[in-house]
Amino acid sequence: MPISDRGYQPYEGPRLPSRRNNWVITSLELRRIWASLLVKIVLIIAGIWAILRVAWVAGVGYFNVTLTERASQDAAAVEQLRQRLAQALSSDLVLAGIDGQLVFVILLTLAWGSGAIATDVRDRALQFYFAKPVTERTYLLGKITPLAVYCFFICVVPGTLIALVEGSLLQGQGLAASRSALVLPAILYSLVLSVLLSVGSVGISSLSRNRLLTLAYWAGILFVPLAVAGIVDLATQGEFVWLYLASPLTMARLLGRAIFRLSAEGPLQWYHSLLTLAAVCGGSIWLAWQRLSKTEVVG
Amino acid sequence: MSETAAIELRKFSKWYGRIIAVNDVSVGIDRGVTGLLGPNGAGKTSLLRCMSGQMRPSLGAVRILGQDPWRNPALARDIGLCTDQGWLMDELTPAELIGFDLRLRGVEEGKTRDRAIEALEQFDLGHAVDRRINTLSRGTRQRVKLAQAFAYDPEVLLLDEPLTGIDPVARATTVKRIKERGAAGRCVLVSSHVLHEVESMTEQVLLLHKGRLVAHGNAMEIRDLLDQHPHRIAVECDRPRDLARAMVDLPSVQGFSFPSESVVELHTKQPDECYAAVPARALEANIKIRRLTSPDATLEMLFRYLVGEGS
Amino acid sequence: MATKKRIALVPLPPLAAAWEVTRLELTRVVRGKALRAAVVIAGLLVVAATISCLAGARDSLATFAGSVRSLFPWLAIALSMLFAARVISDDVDAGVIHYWFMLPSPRWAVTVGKYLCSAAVVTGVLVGSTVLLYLGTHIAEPGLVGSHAGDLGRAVLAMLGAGLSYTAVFLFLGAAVADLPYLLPLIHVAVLEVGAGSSPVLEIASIRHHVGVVLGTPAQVAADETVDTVLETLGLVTPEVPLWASLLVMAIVFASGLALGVIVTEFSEYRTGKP
Repeated sequence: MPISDRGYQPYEGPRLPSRRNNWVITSLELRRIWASLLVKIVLIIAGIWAILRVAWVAGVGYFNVTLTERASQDAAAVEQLRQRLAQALSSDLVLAGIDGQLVFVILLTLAWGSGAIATDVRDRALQFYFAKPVTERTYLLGKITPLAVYCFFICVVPGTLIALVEGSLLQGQGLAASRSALVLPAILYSLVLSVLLSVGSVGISSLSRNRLLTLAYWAGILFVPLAVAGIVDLATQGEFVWLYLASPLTMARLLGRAIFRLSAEGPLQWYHSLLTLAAVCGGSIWLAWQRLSKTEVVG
Repeated sequence: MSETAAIELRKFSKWYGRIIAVNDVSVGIDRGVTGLLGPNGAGKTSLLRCMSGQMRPSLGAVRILGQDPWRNPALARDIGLCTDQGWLMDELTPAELIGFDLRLRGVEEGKTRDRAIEALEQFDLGHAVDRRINTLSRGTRQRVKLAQAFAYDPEVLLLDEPLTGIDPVARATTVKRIKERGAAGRCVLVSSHVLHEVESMTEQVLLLHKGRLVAHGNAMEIRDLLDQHPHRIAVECDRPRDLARAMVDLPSVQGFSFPSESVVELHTKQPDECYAAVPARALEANIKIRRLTSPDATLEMLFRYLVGEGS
Repeated sequence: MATKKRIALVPLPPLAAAWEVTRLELTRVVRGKALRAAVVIAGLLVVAATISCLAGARDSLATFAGSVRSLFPWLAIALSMLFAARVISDDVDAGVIHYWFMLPSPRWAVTVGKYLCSAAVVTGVLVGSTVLLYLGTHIAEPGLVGSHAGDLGRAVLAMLGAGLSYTAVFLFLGAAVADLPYLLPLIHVAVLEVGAGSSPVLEIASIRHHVGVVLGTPAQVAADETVDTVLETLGLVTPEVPLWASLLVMAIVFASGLALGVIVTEFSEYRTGKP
């Protein structure tokens, strides 16, 4: 009886250009992320929190504008009120609006990003992916991009809305344009946060097949340097703050202040943050690349 | 249903949402070894989980030694369970795991290790006593689970796919241990897809299909009741067509088929009469018989007939 | 059929069984990687404080109290997530839960045993870190070790309370949704510890606030200016909670968390997850 090999048979059909694979993997990952109940809950709570914050700013701002308009007897008092209002409705509030969403972005990266590659390693899905015309680059982009998209929307929506609300409230003072222009820094800062946290978490997730372990690594990178630097800061009563250089979250917020043209609050300046952020992003991608390159594909 | 049945199911049903896993099963299982057969999704694992008290029936009742096993830790000392998945703690060694179990069951602290080693050696696991479970192969882990279930000699043993991943030599040892327990008066229920090995352990079977009980009892007796599937008797001889000619006038023979040049298959509803007639007629016709077998006398054929795939 | 006579065994009583479960679980935890990671992280904090104090910190008590107040409640939350929230769901995923519920001991004994192990690990790391932190921050002023012992005592008591209550709550919340063990604990942290815990008046609902009361210096809530304005107008201020009340709250949280955890595991049917 002849022996016939009925195992793996190579694909002989047409192969579409690799550009299309980027979209295929990305759209698959977008759907997978959305399918997670934990992610849905984080997104919903983030949305509610963003709406509450924007509503609060709009409500309190409108209340103050009304007060200003009613105090028309004393010109000095009116001017003082207007200045206070212009000070309150500033880039600080937009920045705070985005920073307030940071907890949800971190939760999202812990819930999904830190296990993105680990889950595929555990389920042996890498062999599935790389037996197809999918390169490491396509795979990584497909993992990072969807997570970055979700993180970006969590941050940019409240930031932009707060900027537009400020612009509308300060129209009477001729500050509408300058406040509305805060939309651009809001978009840029949101982009920085989303890229940093998604690249970092996905890269770290390649370190092990154990999802809990990669989650712990990512949580450690985010919080341990911050905690250690905080203790030293406390002990030295603010005299030694250089350990914050090891904290990606602190460095990202420092860069955010610079994007909004706000002065730094200590000796650390925005350019100090670039090394940390580059190390986190570059290091994560390098780690993931090493892991993916070594994946053996059973043919 | 026998009054002394070790396991009783009374109109037992189990569903998960809209999926009915087991549907209105009533049966009594006596002591000895019984095979629980069925295709994937028949409801075997759900049945075993309810019998062991891991889950409750959605309808009806389960009784093990006359008691309801759900939230009944006192009954747990008389039930041994070996699951097909999971169960083992990776951080421990087999001796530690079984020793802990025995300690909880009342064995003195100083004696638990010896008893654990004894249980492991029953399944040829002397070499794995102090190795971490996460370093063991799949087959060895399965044997550790069996050793754990057998260690305290329970009255009722529920074994879900016990031979999964085990090599042929170890399978023979495992089958032997199962038969020993059955012979010692324990009730052993073995769920398996490896039909020829269930055959080697017992003739008592319980057949499930799509959640329903299709057959229960002695496999051969069940086979005899299947009127719509005549028995087949395969005779390998030098002149199969001449033998067919010699047998054609026998009333018990319903038909013939010739699967190969040297074999004739007789189809009959009275196999005993045919078995008696074949040698006599062959002798009369001077036909040399090389082999006489029944392709039907297997659990696999019974399984196929009852779940509707037919031959 | 001849029945071979079995040797009769008398299973351990439930409390003894719970103790055996605790011992076994401790063995598993000690052999796992999570405890090592927790000890390293706690150790890093202690080392950082010690080095800072050696390098010339101004006030050892302020460093100690500030570190414990600001960081250690979060350390308690993280440790409880790691060692309590997943205790049931990990065993469900691995199929080990069927082993536990086949033992001749009531399910509540198994749950209590697991809780005792988690609580021992969490409080052990917390209390150990607190003591080491105290010694580390006083390394430059050893003469003050005795005089600040009262603060150490309160800190240890606070960490005990935090460890026991967070572990109980997270064990229950993790067992309630075994498929997603972090879901309810994260919601608890987001809503009660972060949300309410950062708001005047509402902070009474957070365990962190009561930990602060036991420590002796509840954290100053840094509210928004806009929030401040509203609350000043309405006259809303967080009432002062006496020490005994905070201890009682933590005891109630611990007891109800453990009781609910026992109830959930007592009546749940677990289907093993992955093959």
